[in-house]
Amino acid sequence: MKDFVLLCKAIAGSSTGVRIRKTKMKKKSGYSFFSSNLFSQIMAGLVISLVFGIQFYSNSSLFLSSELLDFTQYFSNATNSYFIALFALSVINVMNIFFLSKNDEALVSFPITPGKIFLARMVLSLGYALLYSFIFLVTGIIYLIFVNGTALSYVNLVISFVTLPFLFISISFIVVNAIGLLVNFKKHRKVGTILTILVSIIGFVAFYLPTIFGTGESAQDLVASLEIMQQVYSQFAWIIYIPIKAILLENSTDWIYILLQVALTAGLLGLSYLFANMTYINNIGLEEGKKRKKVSSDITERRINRAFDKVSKNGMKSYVYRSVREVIHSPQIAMIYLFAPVFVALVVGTSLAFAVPEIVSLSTINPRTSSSILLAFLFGGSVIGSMTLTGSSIAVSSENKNIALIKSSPVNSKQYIFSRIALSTSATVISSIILAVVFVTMGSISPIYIFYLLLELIPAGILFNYVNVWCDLLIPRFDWNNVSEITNNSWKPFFNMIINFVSWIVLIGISAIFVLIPNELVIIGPVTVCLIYICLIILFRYLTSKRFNKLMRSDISY
Amino acid sequence: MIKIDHVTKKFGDFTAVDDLDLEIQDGEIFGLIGPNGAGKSTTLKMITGILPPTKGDVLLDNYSITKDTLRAKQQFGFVADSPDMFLGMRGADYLSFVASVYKVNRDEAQEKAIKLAKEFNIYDSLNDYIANYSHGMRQKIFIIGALLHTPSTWILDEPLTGLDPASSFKIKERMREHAAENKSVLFSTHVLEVAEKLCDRIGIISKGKLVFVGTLDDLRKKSGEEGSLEELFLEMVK
Repeated sequence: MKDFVLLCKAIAGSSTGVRIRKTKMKKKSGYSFFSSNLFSQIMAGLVISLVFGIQFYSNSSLFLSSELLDFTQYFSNATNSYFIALFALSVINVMNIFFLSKNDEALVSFPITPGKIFLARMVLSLGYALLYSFIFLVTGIIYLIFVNGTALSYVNLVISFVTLPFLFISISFIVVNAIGLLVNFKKHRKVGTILTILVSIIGFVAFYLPTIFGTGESAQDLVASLEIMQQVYSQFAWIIYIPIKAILLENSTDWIYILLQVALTAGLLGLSYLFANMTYINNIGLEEGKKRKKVSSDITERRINRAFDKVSKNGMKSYVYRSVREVIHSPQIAMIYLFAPVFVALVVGTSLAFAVPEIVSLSTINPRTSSSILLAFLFGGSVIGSMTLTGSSIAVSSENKNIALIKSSPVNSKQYIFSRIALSTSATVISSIILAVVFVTMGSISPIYIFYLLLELIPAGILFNYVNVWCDLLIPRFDWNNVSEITNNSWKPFFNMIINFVSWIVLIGISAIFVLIPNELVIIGPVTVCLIYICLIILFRYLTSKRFNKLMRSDISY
Repeated sequence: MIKIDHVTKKFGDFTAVDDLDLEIQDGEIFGLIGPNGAGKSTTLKMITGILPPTKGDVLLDNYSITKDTLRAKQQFGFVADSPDMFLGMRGADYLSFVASVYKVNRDEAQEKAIKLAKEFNIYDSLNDYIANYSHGMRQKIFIIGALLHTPSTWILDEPLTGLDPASSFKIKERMREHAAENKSVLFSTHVLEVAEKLCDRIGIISKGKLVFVGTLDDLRKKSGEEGSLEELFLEMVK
């Protein structure tokens, strides 16, 4: 047993990374439990659970007072969203932990059975899934409080809370394994990136669906928008049919559903193991045996030509292209680059919407709902926004051993930093434009407000990216082996989360300037804020460049 | 030409390199040898600007690495000891990136890259990811990258590790050609036979100090005895 725990720890330390260091090492290396990825994962899980709990509570009370819709149906729909999100997270975790880990070859050379390696990876995947299952637990408790659930319902809820992650991981394992049979994720990392992005989009939309649809000027509006959500979800209600039935206990015989759920979970776990025996366990550590395809010399020459087309006079194209390649190469980084800008745009846009009643009619919705949505965006923004920071920090800390060549090359600091933020900045700008259009469409407001919105959103995006790189340059680390370790083991996630949260609060404060300005002079607000941002961009551009030059002259190597 | 002017490197109280004074002339192949932890890599890192010296300076073709950093860095091509870098890039993309950094003309860079890739037998793999390369192939792509801008000085940290005999021979030949063009080559190695056969002069570094600089004949004369470089080296670093 002790051996198995050690194996789990070894695998955790080198895959998506639960790394706990003893506190006594803190002084030497800066590691501690509080700076570990496990702590930030727990915090993220709890914060997200809390935020959605608050939102669910807020909507539920409004919902019940309206007496227009079936509350149980609403609960089912909300949990449906979380389940889809949990499934998406499970797929990503399974892919990273089982199929993108680097230490299989080393592990199989030890006297450990492949079955044990599989089980250790399964334990790790379940750990992550259980963490995010708290969302379901919190929502379930709130629901049972509202409907005066029986003791047995609470017991069933806890059983569901524990068994659901097993269910999702088993299904995810089977799905990812089936794809893994067709393509080797390690060799064709693009496939991993595409899969991660696809399931992330599904998870993201599902996760925020209750928020997106949970808006309206009154309880009736809220109910109307929730009806749309219900229609969408009624198509998928079967997904959670059994766990929901188990919790509801509408009939005295419904407890049978909890048994069904446990049986289903056990069955799927067994199926996973069988599947693993056919595919994963027997192939651990084995690379794809296919021979490299012979490419004709014409194609080779054409591709080389294309590669060298990026050599420009100032070299910027090649610099930026290098960043793009790194993003595509890592599913985690691709996910960060995809979602972080969306969140920056979303948080800034939402804060604006609440601060300026004229901009979006959303601001006139029920105060309780609006505050819960705002809170959701603030917390969600700070958690996922922290990924932006880590994502941008990939810019420098991810250099790892590359830093030796970067430091020995005549690299221009401005080019280097710009190339690192160019990608996330363009993503932020695109997200901002989409968001502005959505707001205008939703709020039926004058197109001039698109201009006002973009006047804030675009400089804000650029500024955040510069701040992120600057943060990373303060204490860069190059001693991790891969990008996953950087994103997961960095001391930064928690620190970044706080920085983000404070930043959003400050941002909202700045946006509130709008409220103080008379309507006819409303342009002064965005222009003022835009000017503040531009000044800050100039400041951080200077600070970043200074820090980068300092890094180039520092003792930091690899 | 490399001029290492009384360079010292300290990490806290530990002196990794102690008052190293050395000049490597144009047209010369210089081998830096020494036991593990002697300070070879630290010395190369200071020469290439990866680490700043605590004291002293390094001049590359008369450009100071501490004061005129970017110009000094333009003068050399560096091959690091670990080739596990830029794994997410294709070989051709990496070379194009290097060409951009060193501001090499596009056509000239492509022509040279193709020529060297064919020479080192990795032309067909140029469009593959570096992550999929073997250790030797990675070493080769970084060697090509270091030669792309035709540097006047070539600095290599343990360049022959992991290479097959043919590639190893090719690199040694390249070093000789480089020196024949009146350019300098500085490399560190653990393989004493390589240093013995290839170098015009060698420097033996032990515990951060340069304990010997000269030709193998000088070393034999100094120690006053005949013997292989291995025996003399072991005697020197005792």
